[in-house]
Amino acid sequence: MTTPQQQQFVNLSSALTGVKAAQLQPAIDQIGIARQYLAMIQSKASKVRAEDFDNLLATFTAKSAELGPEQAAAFVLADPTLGPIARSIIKMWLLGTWYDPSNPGTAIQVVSMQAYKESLVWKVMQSHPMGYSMWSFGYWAGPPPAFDQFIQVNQESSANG
Amino acid sequence: MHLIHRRLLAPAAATVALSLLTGCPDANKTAKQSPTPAPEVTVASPSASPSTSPSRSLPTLSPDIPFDVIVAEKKPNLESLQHDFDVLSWNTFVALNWPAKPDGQPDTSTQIGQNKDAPTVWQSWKKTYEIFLPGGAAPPPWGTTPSPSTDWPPICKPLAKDGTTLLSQVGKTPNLLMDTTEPFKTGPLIDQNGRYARFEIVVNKPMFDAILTNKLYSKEGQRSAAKVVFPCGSADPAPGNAGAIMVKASWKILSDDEKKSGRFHVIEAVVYTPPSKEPPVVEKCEAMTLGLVGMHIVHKTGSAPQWVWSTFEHVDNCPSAGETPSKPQYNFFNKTSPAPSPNEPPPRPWDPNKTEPPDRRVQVVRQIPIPRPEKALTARYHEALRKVNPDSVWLNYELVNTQWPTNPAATCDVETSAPVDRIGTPAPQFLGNSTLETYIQGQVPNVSSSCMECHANATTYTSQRPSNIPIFSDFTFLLERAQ
Repeated sequence: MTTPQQQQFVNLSSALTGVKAAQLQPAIDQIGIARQYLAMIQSKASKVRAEDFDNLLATFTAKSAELGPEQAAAFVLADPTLGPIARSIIKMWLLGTWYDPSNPGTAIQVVSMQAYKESLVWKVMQSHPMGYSMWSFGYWAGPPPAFDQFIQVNQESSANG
Repeated sequence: MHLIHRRLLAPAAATVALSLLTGCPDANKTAKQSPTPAPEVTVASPSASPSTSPSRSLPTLSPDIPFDVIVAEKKPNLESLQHDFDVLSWNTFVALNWPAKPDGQPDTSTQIGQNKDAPTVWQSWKKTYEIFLPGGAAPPPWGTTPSPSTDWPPICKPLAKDGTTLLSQVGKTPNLLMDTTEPFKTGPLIDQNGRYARFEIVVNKPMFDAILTNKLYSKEGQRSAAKVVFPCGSADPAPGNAGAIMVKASWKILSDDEKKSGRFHVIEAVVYTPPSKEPPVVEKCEAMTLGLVGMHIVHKTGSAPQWVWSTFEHVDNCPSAGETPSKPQYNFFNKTSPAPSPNEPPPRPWDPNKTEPPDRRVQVVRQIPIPRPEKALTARYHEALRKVNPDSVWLNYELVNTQWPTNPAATCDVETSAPVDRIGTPAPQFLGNSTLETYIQGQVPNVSSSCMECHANATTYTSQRPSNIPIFSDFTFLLERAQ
């Protein structure tokens, strides 16, 4: 069951990554990667203060209602306190790894085994995780499926690439 | 009630199809189904929780094989859909284990378990050794195989009687004792009597017809194959739309006490042990009484083109991890076993003709305990079975779990319609039967037992591709057996 906070986190993540919320958190969500990522941020290991994260969600939600999600994402990214957390969230979705917001080059941990294989970077490169291919034998002899088979992009985010 | 599909509920497309460059025959239309109304048992079920019990009436025990899952909730979620697929598993288990008439059709004059035990519907289906014949010869059409088959090993023929089953596999995979290139750590399963478990795989008529029509039974036939797509069970419950079904069964050789116990579904079978030079194994064929200990049912449906993977076990097989063993004895576990550690293959050499000493008997523990909802559903079906016969042999079998695609392919042609998420994000992610995936249980992606993850790698033996590179065989490894 999705809590209001989890839904806010998914909405924020969708705006930050440009990937549709329905892909980040499917209606029938067997893996629960959004839930895992949220738990990562809320853990002590993330080095994120609870009030800062709450402020990030609240600010994004309020600005999103006012300006739309894309402008709201730009707003929080420009904020000196919220921006580093938002950038770590983008990296977490892309790489499955949580980076210290105050030391952006420092990876704290791969979130989980699932996070490794669910990282969006594999889909962005139209490939599959190393050591985890579910494609058919001999797939390497042909071109990969089209990009939109891998990633469902928000219409309004397409300008951001 | 609704039929599920495609991220919830688009109508199931579900026509058949084994599409090859040479054509797209409609194998479903050749399947037989006998839609027979079954008597409904309506007694309150005290054991079921509200989440697993949409109605208080007991399940209907029917000889009709379900065509597809039925979604009970208007707004289904992961848990409710798991329940729906579990119901499909149990209904299929009941239909497949319904007492069979000599022609293999369900005997609708009786009920499952009414006479305690009887030959079942699936046991008349095509066995792998009847499909993939020496020299790639075409198997005779459904219903025309001489019984017993003329392709039995010569040493077994004197034991052949009408309708006798031949069990010739000592592992889930073929040629276990001879094959040194197993895809993963595996080995024979030795029970607590020291005897080797035996295995078989059978397919239903729609699947067999698809193999036959498209000549996939031989290497030569596979050389013209551009694609393999087995028929899906249809949303339209018309005769012939059941879809492709495979059954993998594991059997244990019963002791005299076990024969008398009445706790096993029993067959009288001819057990063949193939010869081997290294390790030295003598060719042998014996008539034996065996009891069913494990059963995979794999069903391709319109809502689950990646197939529905149901698995059942005998209740006495083994304890689960973290559970205190409460039974005086198990089929594959001994509280005082001298075996070094659980779920480890027995050390070589292996000789299925032997009765192995205690320290070579496999100590099996179910790594992932059966979840509470599945246990509750099994309790409801047991209640219905008990109403038919308090001594029904089927009260000794339980659903372990059902794996199904949460992101199903859009059409029955999985390779084309699910190019990225080929396996459809299965739920649960891991599933194993303690008698069929004994040594690969666990929860490590791409390593531990997951029906769909493993079978997504299945291919034909050859194809029309350049250099005869094999092609995706629609989740079955059987086609690799073509000669």
